[in-house]
Amino acid sequence: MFDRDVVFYGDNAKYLKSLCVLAPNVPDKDKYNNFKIFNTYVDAYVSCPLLGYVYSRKGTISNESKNDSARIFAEAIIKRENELRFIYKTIMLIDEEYEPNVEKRIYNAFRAETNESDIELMNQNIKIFNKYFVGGLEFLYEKFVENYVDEDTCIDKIHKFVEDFYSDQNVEKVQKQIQELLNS
Amino acid sequence: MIIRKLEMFNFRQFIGRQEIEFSADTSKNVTALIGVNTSGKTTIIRAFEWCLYGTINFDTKILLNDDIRMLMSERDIEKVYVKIYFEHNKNSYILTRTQEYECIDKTNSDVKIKDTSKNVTLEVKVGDGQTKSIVGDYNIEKSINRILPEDLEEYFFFGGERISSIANKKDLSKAVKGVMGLEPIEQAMNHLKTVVGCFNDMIDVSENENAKKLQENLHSDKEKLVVFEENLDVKNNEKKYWSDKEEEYLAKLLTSPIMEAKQLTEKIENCKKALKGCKEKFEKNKKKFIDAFNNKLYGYFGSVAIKNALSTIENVKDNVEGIPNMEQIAIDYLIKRGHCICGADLSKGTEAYEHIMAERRKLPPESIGTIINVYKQDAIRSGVDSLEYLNSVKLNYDDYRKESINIIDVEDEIRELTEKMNKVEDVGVREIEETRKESKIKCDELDGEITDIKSNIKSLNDEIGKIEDRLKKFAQDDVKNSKISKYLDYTKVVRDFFDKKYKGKESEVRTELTDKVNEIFKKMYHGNRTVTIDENYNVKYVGTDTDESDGLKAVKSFAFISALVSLAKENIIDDSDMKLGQEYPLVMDAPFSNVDEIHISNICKILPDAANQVIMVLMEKDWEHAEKQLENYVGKKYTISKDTETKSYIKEEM
Repeated sequence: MFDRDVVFYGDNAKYLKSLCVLAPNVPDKDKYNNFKIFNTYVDAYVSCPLLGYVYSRKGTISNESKNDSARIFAEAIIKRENELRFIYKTIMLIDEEYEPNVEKRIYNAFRAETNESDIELMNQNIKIFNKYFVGGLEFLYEKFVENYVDEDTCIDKIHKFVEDFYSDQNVEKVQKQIQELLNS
Repeated sequence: MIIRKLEMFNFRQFIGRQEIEFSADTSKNVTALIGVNTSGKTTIIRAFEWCLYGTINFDTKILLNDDIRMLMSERDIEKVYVKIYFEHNKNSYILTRTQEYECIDKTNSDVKIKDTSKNVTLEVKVGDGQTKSIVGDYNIEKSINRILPEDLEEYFFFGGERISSIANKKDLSKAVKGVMGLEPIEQAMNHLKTVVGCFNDMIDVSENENAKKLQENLHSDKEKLVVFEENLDVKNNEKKYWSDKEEEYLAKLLTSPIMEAKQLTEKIENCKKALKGCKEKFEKNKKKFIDAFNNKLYGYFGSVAIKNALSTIENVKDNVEGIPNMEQIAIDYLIKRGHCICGADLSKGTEAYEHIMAERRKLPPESIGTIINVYKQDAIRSGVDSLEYLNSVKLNYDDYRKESINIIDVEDEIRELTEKMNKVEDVGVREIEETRKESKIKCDELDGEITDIKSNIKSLNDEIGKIEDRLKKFAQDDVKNSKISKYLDYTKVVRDFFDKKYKGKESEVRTELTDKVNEIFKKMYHGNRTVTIDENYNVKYVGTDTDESDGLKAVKSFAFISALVSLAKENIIDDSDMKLGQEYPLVMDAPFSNVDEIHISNICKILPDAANQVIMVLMEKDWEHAEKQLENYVGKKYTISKDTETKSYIKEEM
């Protein structure tokens, strides 16, 4: 898990490229000249899954196609392995729609990886992770790329998004609850 | 290269035969030539330039001493020569350039002369004592250019006014590459490119329509490329022309006798500098904002998710505790043997099997308690203090906003000042400002055109590369062309080898140069700055971006030149003992004219080490400051005294 290249195709790739700064050797780099909120693909890969979950967006993974693809390299993923694992565990623990049984969720989060006979299960689990990732991507795309005006407006939007989230989602209260749970 | 002696005969104000012997002593390697303004200091530097390259950098082109000229009668012939005695690579050279003048008209008030024959000779005494003479201007030119290339001449023979421009020159890469000896490699690579072209032409396409088309396309693309590149040169020269014009008009405004114009122009230029700084800060703040947004973004936006996860674990802590001290291995053993401890059949599909598998899932290698704690630790580590995240984003956003408002304010100010400029009563000033604006507009237009041409060149090069690949594939597959295909493979390998070597050397050179410049800069500059060198070899400050005084510009240029010369001296040697650099002397005309006492002192600290020979031409007052530092390094000292407007004498001081 989180030790190899990950490739996205079709619309998934399109959204990824719209939101991330592109390396100079990406062929259609000039098509995407809006302001980028992520510096690299892997930044998006780390940031979007939980966003996808929080906004209840389970996206659809586009089929493999020759037309458009975006590859996240293993080296980049391995560097962020710890964070990715944490996010994976979090999603597995709370996605009741995917797995209603709490014991099985705990198994998915912590144990499935170590069991050789659960390779298929792990593949499904990673798919869920990727679906939330794609959902988060779509959410950000709609918010910051779809009605793109200019850089300045985009930055304003990002700032407002962060500020509003604090009050709308009552982050302060949630933080307190997290602290209590951590201390118990 | 070590310069031994300069001999001048009737050259400008130096009447008769006058010579200067330069110190080549390794510990006292500084030669000082001291004189007042207009005594002929700069003339000595120009004598070098004329002798080496035949260039006459004076406003009036007659080299013959005026007194001598006035004594001529019609049809008399007088000559001027400059000799440079120097050593290079264990050989001794005498370069002599002569120009003859014939008197064509003499009246009571003036004597007219015209230049007649001219001559340049180079005598070489090779290491073993044998003398030979190199004939032919072209061969001499080639030899001189190999020893001290004309392109680099301005880096080793430099004058006070040019100092501030050296380290700010647009593209120093050619100079650096020349000094560090990278040019031969670059030329080798360019040659190999032509070789590939030749081989591509040799591919026999007579029987293949597609290949024939490819070859034709390749030719036409290459022709287009040449046109584009010529165009680019033309546009670059045009741009330089307009850019120089703009600077010229700007200078006129800055020195305008109309006080209002001068002041307004100064203010506008200061605002423009400030605007540049603001824009750089703006970009930086933008980046910082995005970094703040990205920093543990998932911790902030995912806090609800993390809370739910922690809560889930909390609730089931007890229920998922496995049988203490039992591990999955134990259950695997039971399944393998086929029956449980209680004796029940554990074949796949039985109820007992399902139960034991459910139990297995709760067991370690890790115990659930440990796992939960690991998750909690992760949560603490990556869970961010949400308030801190929010504040960090806000702070960086405010900084970003502040800077964007600054930009608008400064732009407004520039606009206001420019309007005032347009209303200045003096017609002359308004005209100059108009022409300056036009020059700037032309420059900006040309910038756009240049960018377009460059991008066209890039696409063409990409296309050419693709066609060459396809041709090569064709040659590979076609039996008749198998030989050519092999040649192409060989060429590619050699080319790749050179390419790798070149890139490696270039990056080595750039790192060494940066380190050296910083080392020298620290010694010279009594402040706290470091510099870095970008890919055009321009020297840039790291960190704060305040105004650059003339003194600072001079220090920056000195550091760059000294680093360059010093590195060339050190001869960067690679693992196959490929010596790259050369030794160059440093010849400076009025180097301290814009520099304050402290900086002079600092610069002098590192000068003797900077080159194997340092030759300085300067004024008495600047020498006073320099002398303190350089006393122990001066091998020879001369004064240039002005006898009359037309006569100067060089005298050695003991």
